[in-house]
Amino acid sequence: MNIIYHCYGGAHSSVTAASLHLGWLPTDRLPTDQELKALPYFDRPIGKDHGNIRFMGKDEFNNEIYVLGRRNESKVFENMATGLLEVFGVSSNDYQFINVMPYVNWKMVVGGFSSRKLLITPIGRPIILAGVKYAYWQIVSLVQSVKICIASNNSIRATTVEE
Amino acid sequence: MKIFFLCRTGHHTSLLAAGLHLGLIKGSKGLRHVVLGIRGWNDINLKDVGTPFYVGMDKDNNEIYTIGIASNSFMMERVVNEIIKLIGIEAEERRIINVSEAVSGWTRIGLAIKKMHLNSLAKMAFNRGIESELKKVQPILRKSNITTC
Repeated sequence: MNIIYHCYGGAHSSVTAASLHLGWLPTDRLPTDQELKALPYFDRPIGKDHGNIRFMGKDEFNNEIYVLGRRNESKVFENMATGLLEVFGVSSNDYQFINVMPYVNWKMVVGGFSSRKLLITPIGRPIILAGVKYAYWQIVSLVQSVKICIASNNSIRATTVEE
Repeated sequence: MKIFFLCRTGHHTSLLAAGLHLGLIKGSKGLRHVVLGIRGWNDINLKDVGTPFYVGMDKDNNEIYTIGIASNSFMMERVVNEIIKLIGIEAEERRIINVSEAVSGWTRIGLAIKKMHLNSLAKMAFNRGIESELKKVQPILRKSNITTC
């Protein structure tokens, strides 16, 4: 299965969610600033990178995890993605599109704008880190819900592989 | 092959381009009347923008679709390409032609009015933009080597 976490810029909330999914961040405590800054793509993409679907890694069940920044076009993106799957005869069960924007708070918006749009990273990044930590448990909860939702599919695949 | 024409809604400028390619629009005589008769013209709920719309099959058996990509046209064109690449479709199996550059001022006004649910007024604005859009769409199609009838 392919799972795409998408948000406005593909730099903070979606990267955090994807990293949680891949087990790169703790779920029993808040991550440190260093742990967040070490994540691939965290607070790095800029405007011209929006629209690129970036591969993050494979989870323990071989699901491919991606992140995408699609500005404010979440509905258009989801309509387009599900529609294109249908047009090309691909099963929509093999793809999950997870919108992380509902968990983005004002600190992430202000920090993200300062760091990625205005390129004042020394000011923007600490604000973003505070925002990510503020939303962290909500993002953990979202990722756990996603994992539960796809679990039935995973167990079927795991059984098939063992056989 | 599948050919996708992209514009803001997928039911205006891109449908004109698809109509030209399929031979539904021939010349400028009675243009507005012809365009209004094309299946799907202005038949869009703004919540459904992004969903591919099947227009028909061309003489080379290519399936023709339109897709609405809203206002971030270059970014969303990239998203379309990325999704298709992720699905694993080869470049020879699809073509994407973005005609968003040809969207006229009247269509932009029409969209703003449509957001206010003033559909009749919006339709008038969309219809006013047809001629100017046709003039802008033709060079884009020629540049993309898309045949028109």
